[in-house]
Amino acid sequence: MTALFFKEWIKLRLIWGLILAGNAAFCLYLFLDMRQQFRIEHAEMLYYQASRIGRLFYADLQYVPALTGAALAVAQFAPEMAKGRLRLSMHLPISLDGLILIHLTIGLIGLGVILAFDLAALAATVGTFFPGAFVHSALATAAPWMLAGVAAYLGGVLVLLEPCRPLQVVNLAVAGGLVTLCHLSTRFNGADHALPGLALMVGLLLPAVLLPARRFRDGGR
Amino acid sequence: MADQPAIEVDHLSHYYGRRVIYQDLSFTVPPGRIFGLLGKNGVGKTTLIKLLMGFLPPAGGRCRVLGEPSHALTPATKRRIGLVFEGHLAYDFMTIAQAERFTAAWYPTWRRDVFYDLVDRLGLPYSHRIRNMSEGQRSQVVLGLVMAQDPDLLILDDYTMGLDAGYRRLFLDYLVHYARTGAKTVLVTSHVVQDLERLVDDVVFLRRGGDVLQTSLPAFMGAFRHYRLPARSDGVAPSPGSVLHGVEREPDGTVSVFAFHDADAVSAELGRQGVDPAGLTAIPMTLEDAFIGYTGKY
Repeated sequence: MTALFFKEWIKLRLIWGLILAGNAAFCLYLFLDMRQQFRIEHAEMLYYQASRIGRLFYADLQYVPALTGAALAVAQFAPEMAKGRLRLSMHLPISLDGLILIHLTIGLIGLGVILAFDLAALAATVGTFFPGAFVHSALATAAPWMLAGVAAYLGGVLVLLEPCRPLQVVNLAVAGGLVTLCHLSTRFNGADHALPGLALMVGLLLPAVLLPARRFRDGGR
Repeated sequence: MADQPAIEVDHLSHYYGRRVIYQDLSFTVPPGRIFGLLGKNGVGKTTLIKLLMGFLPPAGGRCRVLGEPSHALTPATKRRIGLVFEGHLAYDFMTIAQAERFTAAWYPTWRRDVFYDLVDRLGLPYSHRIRNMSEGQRSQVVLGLVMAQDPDLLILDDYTMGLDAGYRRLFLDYLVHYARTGAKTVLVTSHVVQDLERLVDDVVFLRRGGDVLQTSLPAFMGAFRHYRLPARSDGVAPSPGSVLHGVEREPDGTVSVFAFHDADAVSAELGRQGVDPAGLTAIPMTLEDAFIGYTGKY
């Protein structure tokens, strides 16, 4: 297990660092954009827009986690699929399911750190300009977007591992559908009640990834 | 346990769609032998290697490696098998040192000295990334990684791919020494048949449809003969059958005849077919000649 962490760290550290830097740059943009709005508008007016009209000052963030998840999936699994290199790992003295689940755990940890950074930056940005109640609301509003990041990661892996082209299209549709579901509401706390159901559906992608991995091992059958 | 075959292929069948690759293919590889798997393109060598490596489930029959079904190898058995994939597949984002550190973690009997003995011949710093190596250099790193595992069984799928004569010889010499001194079992395929003459104890010839001949290399080279008939104006050539295994018309008009029989039996068969056996001459042959004679040019 430690050896797989070592391998994935070597493979991913540069691209993971770049993705984190990209997220940090976006969070900085979000902060500067909000600060600019508070400079040119009265704070009361912006509070009113947020609390009464329902304007989301951080709506630009919503697709960033999904893009992050998809990018991480590609960075982690595209090199494994190139020339069928995953077969090298499949011959390691470890079960296939164990091998794939450890890879996914590593990817999800990497993704989790970036998404946690995004949430922390969102909380800090909103907390800097808005009263405390808005921070909790912002985190709840952004939670399904973060879930979309996980769905994009697991869905990306599902698509990349799938050796059968028609099933790859089906997997893409399933993953895309889940990511879309996570973005259906752009209202404050809009997905609060749907969150457990969404999390369950996204969680189901985890065991689902084992199926294309087995098909890949079996020569695409 | 010691007498258990390293590889057992028993009534194996496999298909791609409706295309039959094998039907009823059977052979065994005893432990401690070096086995060459020979066959023309498209006869299913790579498919067989994939079946043995567990990357394809057999459509029928049994395929056992070190006593376990090849498609359900336990981690303990995988640890005893070293695989060299076609094209010397490696984690090319790693450096030499990283590849050694990563692979060593999986094998309790890891032989670091074996790995670096081979890799040091390349004269590269250990920080050299595998993706920046030539095919030949990468092949040495891959061979070093597999040998350092100290496996009981090595399976090498076309190790010659992309290697020039120098690297092929280096790879081969090292492999022969390693396998002989360690009493390892080796199953190897290669497109460069003459290399195998220096390496293998036994050969398995695969022909289309799964027709298979398993024999020791000396027995095969001793029994299989190459004869030549001079060019004839009538253009009559014999047909292959029970006595004449293969017949090839050469560009200069002569006819090559391959058979598992001596010159008298071949002459008699030629006579039976109405072909004058006068001038029939035995020709010495290499393994490559024998391979072509046995499997045919086309």
